Amino acid sequence: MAGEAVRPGAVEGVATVVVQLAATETFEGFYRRELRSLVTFAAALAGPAHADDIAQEAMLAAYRRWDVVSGLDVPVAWVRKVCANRAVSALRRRASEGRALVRLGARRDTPTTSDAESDVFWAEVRRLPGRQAQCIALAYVYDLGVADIARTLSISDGSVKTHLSRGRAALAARLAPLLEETP
Amino acid sequence: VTLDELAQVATRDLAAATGRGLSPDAMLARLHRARRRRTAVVSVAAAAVLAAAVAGVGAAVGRDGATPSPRPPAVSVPAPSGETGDDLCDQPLITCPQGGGRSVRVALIDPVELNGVTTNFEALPKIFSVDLLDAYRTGVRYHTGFTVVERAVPVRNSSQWSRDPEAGSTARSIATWLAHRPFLQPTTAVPVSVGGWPAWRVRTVLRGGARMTASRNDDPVAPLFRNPTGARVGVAPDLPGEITLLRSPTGHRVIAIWSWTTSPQTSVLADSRLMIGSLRFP
Repeated sequence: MAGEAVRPGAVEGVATVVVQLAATETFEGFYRRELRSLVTFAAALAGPAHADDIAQEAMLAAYRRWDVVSGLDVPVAWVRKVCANRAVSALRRRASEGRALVRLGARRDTPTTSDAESDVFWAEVRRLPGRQAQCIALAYVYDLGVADIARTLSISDGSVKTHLSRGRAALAARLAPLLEETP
Repeated sequence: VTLDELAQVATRDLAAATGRGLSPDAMLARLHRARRRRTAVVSVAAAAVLAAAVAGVGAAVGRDGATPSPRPPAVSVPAPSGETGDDLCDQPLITCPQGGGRSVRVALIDPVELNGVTTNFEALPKIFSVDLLDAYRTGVRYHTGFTVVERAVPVRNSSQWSRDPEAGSTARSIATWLAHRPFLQPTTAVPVSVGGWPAWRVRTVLRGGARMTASRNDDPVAPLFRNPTGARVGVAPDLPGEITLLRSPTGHRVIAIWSWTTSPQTSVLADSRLMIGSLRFP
């Protein structure tokens, strides 16, 4: 158990177990502190309509393993990784469902459009390959550097640099008209 | 403006939009409710295990008066991993059989059970209607999966999607009819088994230069089946597949299981056969 130590007791031959109260915070405190940014992160990757559910699923996964997660160096990194993976899966699944409707002749998917530049930016992030989108979202939503992104996603620094570089290049190309037009 | 500046503005806007009306306290309460519900489900399963074990011991002792050697219980408790727990079982029309591991039962007109014998399918099918669902492969580059079309009606080779009486009404006759569609590459109806029921599988790959007489939305296809809730199954050049036909266990209708892929490598279809063969129609 984290925070538990055994030392010889004052009485010879008898070990006294000293249980130090773990310094880890409660799940509830963690949840209240991290939920908002996690929902934003989920929205960046999967869209606002499903962000609450995805963030909640990630938090529920953390709650079920809180005895382990709370003992990690950076518990929130674990939750962000779960959230990132679920968000990308959810996005991929919605794409599959959209294609299914076309395949089965039910209807053609109607793309939603938005004039808001912010919406356009995140929509383009979601069009990136999953890993690139995750790296970009962690960089912008949480303002994380390469090393922290690598630790969050359990990939190498070099991979993060590659994903960020490719992702940013793709975004710059797709958003070029917007970048040029914005005063 | 640079990409970074745009991103910063976009992040601020997104945070403001997602934070509006968000109540961490209310969501935390919902999380605890979900957790309690799951605990109750696991407790019921554990009680079933205990009851089965006690009954087994009692029966054995009654037979020969000796305590039997430990045997595995008849049912198992689902691992509380969270991956196939109440997130999955809370969906409309879906139930998770007790002790079923990755199994999910979908209450279509003919209920179907996906047994999760392979882990390379998404755990949750997409249900479009009471007689139509999709299951998707994971870990493949191309969009691949299968569609369960209940109450499948074989249609003429025309734009009308009208029933073709020449197909007959049994799974076997329809499979034979399907194998002789003029627009398909030469194929035969292969006898197979789906969940223990006899079935017939036919490869559906469009022949080169074949004329596609119908359309699905605006895309030309060679028509094969429709069903009462509006599904239209047709073959297109970029969608090779296999269709497995079986008689509905609960009636006189035919179920078509359409395995498809957007991959030019049709070998990926073989990987879906294990999953399709394990479907159960209890």
